[in-house]
Amino acid sequence: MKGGGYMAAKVSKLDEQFKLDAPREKHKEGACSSIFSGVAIYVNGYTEPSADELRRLMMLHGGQFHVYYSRSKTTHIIANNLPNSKIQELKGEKVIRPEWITDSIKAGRLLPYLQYMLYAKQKGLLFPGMTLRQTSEIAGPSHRPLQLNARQKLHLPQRSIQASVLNHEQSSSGCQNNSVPVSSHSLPQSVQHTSESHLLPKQPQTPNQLDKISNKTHPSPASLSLSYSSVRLNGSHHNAFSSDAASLSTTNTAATPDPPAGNSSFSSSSKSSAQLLEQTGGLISEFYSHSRLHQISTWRTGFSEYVNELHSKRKVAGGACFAGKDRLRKLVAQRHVDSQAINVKSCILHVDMDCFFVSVGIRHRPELKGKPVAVTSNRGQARVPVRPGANPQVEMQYYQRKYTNPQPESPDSHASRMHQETASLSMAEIASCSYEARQAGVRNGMFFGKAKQLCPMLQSVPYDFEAYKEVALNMYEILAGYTHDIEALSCDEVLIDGSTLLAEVGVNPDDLAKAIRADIREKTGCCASVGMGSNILLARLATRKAKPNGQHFLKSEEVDDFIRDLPVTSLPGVGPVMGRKLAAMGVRSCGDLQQVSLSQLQKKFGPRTGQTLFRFCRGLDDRPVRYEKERKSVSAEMNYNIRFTKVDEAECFLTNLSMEVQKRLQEAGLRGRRVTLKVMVRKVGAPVEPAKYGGHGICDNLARTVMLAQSTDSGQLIATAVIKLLHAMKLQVQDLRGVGIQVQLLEGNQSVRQDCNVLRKRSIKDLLLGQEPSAKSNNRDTHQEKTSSTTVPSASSLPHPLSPAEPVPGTSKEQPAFRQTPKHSRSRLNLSIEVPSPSQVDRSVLEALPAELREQVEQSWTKRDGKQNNCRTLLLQIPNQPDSPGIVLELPNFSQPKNPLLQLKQPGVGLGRVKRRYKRKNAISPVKKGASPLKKLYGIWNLMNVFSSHMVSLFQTETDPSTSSSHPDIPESVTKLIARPAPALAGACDLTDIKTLLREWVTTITEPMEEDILQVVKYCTDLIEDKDLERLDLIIKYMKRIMQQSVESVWSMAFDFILDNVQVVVQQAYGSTLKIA
Amino acid sequence: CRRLTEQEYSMVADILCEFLEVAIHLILYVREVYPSGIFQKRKKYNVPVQMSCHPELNQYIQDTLHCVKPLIEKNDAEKVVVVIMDKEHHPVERFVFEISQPPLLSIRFSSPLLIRNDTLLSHVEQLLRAFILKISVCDAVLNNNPPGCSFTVLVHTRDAATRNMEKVQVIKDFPWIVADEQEVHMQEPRLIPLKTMTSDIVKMQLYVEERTQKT
Repeated sequence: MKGGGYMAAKVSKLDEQFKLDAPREKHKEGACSSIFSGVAIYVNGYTEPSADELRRLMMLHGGQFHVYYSRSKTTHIIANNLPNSKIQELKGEKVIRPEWITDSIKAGRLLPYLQYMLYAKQKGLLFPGMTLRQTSEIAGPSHRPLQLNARQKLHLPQRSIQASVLNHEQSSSGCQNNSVPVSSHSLPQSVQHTSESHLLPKQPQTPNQLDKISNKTHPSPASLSLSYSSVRLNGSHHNAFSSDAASLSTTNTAATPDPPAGNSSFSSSSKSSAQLLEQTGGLISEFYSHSRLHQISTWRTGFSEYVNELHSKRKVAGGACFAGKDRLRKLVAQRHVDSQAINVKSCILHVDMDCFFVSVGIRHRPELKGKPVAVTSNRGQARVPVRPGANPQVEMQYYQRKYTNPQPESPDSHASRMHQETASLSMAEIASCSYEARQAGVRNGMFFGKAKQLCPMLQSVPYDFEAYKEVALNMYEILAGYTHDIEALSCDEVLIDGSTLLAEVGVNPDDLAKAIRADIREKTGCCASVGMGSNILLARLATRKAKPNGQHFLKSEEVDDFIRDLPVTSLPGVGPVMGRKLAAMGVRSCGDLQQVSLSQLQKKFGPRTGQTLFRFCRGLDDRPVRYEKERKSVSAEMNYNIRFTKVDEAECFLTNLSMEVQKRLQEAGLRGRRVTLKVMVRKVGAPVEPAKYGGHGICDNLARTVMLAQSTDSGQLIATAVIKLLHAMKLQVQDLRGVGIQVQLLEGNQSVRQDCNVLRKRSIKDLLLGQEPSAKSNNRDTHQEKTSSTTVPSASSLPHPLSPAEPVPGTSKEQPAFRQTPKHSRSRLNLSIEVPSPSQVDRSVLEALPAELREQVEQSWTKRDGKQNNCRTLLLQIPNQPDSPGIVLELPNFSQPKNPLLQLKQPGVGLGRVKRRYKRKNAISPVKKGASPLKKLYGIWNLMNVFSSHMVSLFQTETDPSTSSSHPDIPESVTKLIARPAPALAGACDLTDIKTLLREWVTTITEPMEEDILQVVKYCTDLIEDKDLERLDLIIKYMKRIMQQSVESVWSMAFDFILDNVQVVVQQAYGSTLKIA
Repeated sequence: CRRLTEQEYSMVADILCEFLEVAIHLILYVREVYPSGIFQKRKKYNVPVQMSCHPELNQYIQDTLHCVKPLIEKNDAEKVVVVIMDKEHHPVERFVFEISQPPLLSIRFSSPLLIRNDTLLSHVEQLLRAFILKISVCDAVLNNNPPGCSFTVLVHTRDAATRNMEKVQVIKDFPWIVADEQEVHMQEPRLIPLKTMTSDIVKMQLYVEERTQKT
């Protein structure tokens, strides 16, 4: 609108005219109201009723009508339909159907416009197109319904925290500073863990029923206001009141008039969260260390680590005592006869505690046994008054639509009916409920208020986090007494590979299960159910039959009959969304699913998921019980009580959250390169204040990702990156409801350490390790003055503190740097090792070396002498990768200044051979399923590491106390400046090697595995980052040729998948997509 | 490993600008921006190239590169882009030379003077020759341009390099201006990578962005 002066004048004149007309119109009509006060509409295009009519209605009911659209003043745009271009133009504005106005007038109040929106801000229609956030998870192979995002080591209790319900009024009366938000997000997750029920009630209640029940339970309005206990699973109160919060709340509520008080409490609590942000930098880490629900959700990692530890301990000790196993043996010995007959090939046991939270909660309260009991934060009252700004029925409807029925029903009648009944029910979620409660229709994840209506006898039990941990640890200890082949699924769910145990002891699975259950029962006072089967899937399915407090062994001959009648949704990974998709295909039971062909499934759900479904519905599952897991991402997120008012608050929050991520990365000893910022933004038109206090309400989930130049674990770097991302998203900080930071593409010591172990056994041990001790013992005296040090020259252009140009002072200082190297040496290709001068190397050490290595070292000396330079770098070139940048270790000595260098281009001994052998053995073998062949090739690098570390240890003096005993801090710079390696696919850098690799892959394998495809995508992405589009182009063209030629259609799908992914990255980096001829 | 010295950077800039001049001429020839009559066959990097004989055009290209050079010296130029535009001055094709520093100077060149050694230079020459050859055959992968095209050179600088450029501009009386959105923006570009080189002194890649609908 140029020529602002005239237009401005005209607009204001029209406004005045409208104001003048309004009273006249009202007068004429008689019936008027102020429903629309604060609403200013602009009518776009043809509407029903017409713009004139709408104008009149707005006059009558206190609204404003704009003839010209103004982004700042117009609150709603009214339209019946809009052309695409206008939709684009009005992106982010509220465009609403005119029925909103007429219906609001009919209803006599301003209806929420959410359901009248013409379209949502995000692509897709608002309601019908909604999908669960978990879809991607469901598609995965994971047998956990939801994988936890937030992972953290298991922290043992630092302080005892009590579960108490903080009353809202109390917080408004001065204690709000102490209330700390709790991630509501971790609650549903832990709920998902304990049982596979839905987050929300499935059947919408008929209003009559609701009415009856609510009348029964809450006859007087007084009790209504009394029961205003907000859902606050608060993490920490340091205030004195918290211990007697319950009593305080009752005294307070009596005197509380509702709406205004609630209003002020809302603003003050939002202020308080802001204050907290500013006051305490450690808020987030505090929140996490206090949030017990969060801790529960992180326990799985903790228990996994516990199992890992068991394994490593056993390795060290050479054997462990298995108390349970011994007992089993005795049992077998007692009744020697019948046990021999059983011969089970493979047996997986799935141990699942029966309604864990409940049984732990009531194990010392026998009076509650056999009664309907639910674990929730709510203290028995089911009703809370509505806070201003909150609009529970809208959310209720939203969730109901989202989760249960895809059919839109007439919104207005439903809304008004819902309004009376559910608006004020307590929205504390039920984390777990007993079987008695389940019989009454109560489900996990249901809101407590609703559950109480279904089952008036329902007793609530508070959370008891200490007890959960105690019982869970107990259970793990019991199981570890039988075997160490355990996979921790959660705090109350474990998979055991019982095959070897059963064979060893000669007992049948049922006896084992019986023994385990009796043990758990005795030591924890809680019941566990055990399902058994020949694979993980069957074991889990058997558990369903075993529950409650039972056991079931699904014999292989029964599998077919058993599985045929199971509903598809009982298969792991088939959630409501996929269930609906399958139902649309006419598939309800596994038997139906068996009729669908593999290709059809793959077409519909993707190659991987399709195959999984195909196998699952036949009871096939080849996943092994994994007791060691590799981490893929580290993240921290919060979506409770996020209410920012200013941009710098959000920034400050992000910085704090980044520090939390840093903490976690460092705890895990990892660094990552890809940083993702995930935000939840209030959905356009959703109520400003969600029904659940501090909750996130209805949100859009957005995510942005950035690649860092190098891997980092620095919170500062992450913070800068995510703040940039946040700004790039151009959001209103006020609308943020949840923030999460995730770091991916991790590299670190964990996985490398494991790989090293494996490799050590295979090759290097024979090569070097065996000779090392003798070399050491022979030469104590001469080793004294020998020095060793290592540096990791950085491949980046940044100056490096330990660059070879600098004289390296001492031994002891440098040594840790070497110890550090295996941590991030995945990426290295060549080694250059500085060789000590002849005088410093003990002859016998040298002799202990393999012949070729010795030759190289000796050669380096002769060359050095010839040049009269102290060059001590030995570049071990690995065949097949001639032009890769080499760097890893150096062994300088301080007696001589160093400078020039020499290179030995001889293929290092066994190394070359070992490597080749290794490659042949593992490269893309179609036989091996389960682990990715491409991934295995990474082992080569690790091999190199192990090799180099042994080289170093050979030259190292172990007797010198200064070298062997002191390990000062690792220089930070070494860990932080990690060189970016040249992009490589399974260790291959050279174009021809990669082509060979790809060709082998495509020709020898009929079905590509996801990991491999992702490896290729990763490689392509690396090429883009490395700005090597030419090679990318060549490789894409090559893949296109060989993959589309392949007879298997899966390969063309794989190519399309790769190409799509690459195009997305190219688009991000260059703003355009590759032209594929 | 170390960074390049200033002296070496200026040498790198020399090499690159020389190459860019040849490349621009060749692009104009291959993409038929000017009639082939104004071009003459010469030899550069041991391969035949086409150079314009039009004095004004040559001067324009030289002036342009004269201003680009200090940017390359300071490692301020991220991309040098030859844009071919249609009659309406909407870009139809972009030849993007993306220049960055080599990942690290390998140990072989730890002595500053070694960079002048002949093997390195001949290696770089080989790499540049590959670029030239790719440009001369790029019409095979590109669609024909509409008639009446013109060209311009854009430089994408890192950060606020433009301020430092002003001095040079004043001296040369050859001002640079911030590019119009219209000249930079291209509808539905398709990317065709042509060549990437990684040498010890410079890392460069050339790709073409082409408008999907050229006419």
